[in-house]
Amino acid sequence: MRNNGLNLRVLLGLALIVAIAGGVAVAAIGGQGGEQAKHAQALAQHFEAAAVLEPAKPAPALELHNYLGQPVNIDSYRGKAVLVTFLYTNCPDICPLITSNLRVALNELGPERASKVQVIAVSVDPRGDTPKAVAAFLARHGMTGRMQYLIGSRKELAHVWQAWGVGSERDAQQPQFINHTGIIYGVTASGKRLTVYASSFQPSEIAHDVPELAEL
Amino acid sequence: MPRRRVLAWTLGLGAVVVVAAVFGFASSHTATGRAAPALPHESLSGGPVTLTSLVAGTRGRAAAVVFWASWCPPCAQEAPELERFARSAAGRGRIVGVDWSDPELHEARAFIRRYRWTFPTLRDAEGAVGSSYHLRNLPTTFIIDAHSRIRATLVGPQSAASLTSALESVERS
Repeated sequence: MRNNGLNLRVLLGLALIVAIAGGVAVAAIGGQGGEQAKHAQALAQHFEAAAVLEPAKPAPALELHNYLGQPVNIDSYRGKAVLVTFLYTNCPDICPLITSNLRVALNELGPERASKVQVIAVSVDPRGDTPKAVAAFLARHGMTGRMQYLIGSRKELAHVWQAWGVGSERDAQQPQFINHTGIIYGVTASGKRLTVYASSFQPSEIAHDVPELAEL
Repeated sequence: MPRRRVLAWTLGLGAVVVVAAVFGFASSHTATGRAAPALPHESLSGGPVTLTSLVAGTRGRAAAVVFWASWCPPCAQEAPELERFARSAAGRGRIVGVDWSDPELHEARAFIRRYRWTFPTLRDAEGAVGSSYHLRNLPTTFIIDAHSRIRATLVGPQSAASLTSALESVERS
């Protein structure tokens, strides 16, 4: 029963991030104490993300079509920060919350700084995320023209999910819902995947980090 | 399974070092215990309400500020209970709703009509007030004491009984 608010499905993703961030960081900082760990620690001080990936590696390929049928390639946004998340329009809990919080973050940034970031959502529901459903979802959350919502066939999307390490599977008890990884990745202007945000992120965290990501 | 293998399998990142920028970020950003930020100025229903007028209206007791949105299913689950609370002796004049980041005004108004809310609701159209409350989930209820401090944060759908209990708990402490 869905009675704990919109954050129920975040638990897996959040626990994952905290476990990874805590466990690996402790190993890196306390156990090894190497230059890489020190650099990572110093870099993390600049961000309010739940986790910073170090060394940052080039973001995986992301080339799909948006709900208007236009081709979108993440590489075309070099020079801007890019936020990448994974959603579906019939999602009852974390997807609308993530989308609304991204909208608030863009509002907090203001028009000039928001112009230095591109928000990309990749569908985790190839069947349900029709162009019409996506258009309605974006309008409902005030993100029309502010978020690239990418859709495709299961094969096309599964390729992206795998590349980005995102899980997606239909809920066994409630097949109208999809259990999926609920996180947001921050990609630098030079195309490196650097930061990770839990689905329960605060808009101020994104607003803080975007200018940094846009400079790297 | 070795930790790094788990990491690689989970995120597909290979051998990377992940450093938490904010360990324990959930507690470091909690709103509980600090002065309640101002409420939104825009009224949706029930007339204008400010934090000062809400607190003054309770005459030394606690009040509930409930953040919700029309697109939020758990908020719909909670909605009848909020009205039940607002009509009860314990809740009368002690609750205000804040519609958060809900660009479609007609949807918000339809939501209020659907659940026949009689308590005042305000509109945080751009979400800035929610941010100032460190809102992380919907619905979320902030219990405000007579000194306008946030004394409790209740995440998820509440019932009339749970709201009454939360207010009483703050008043007793």
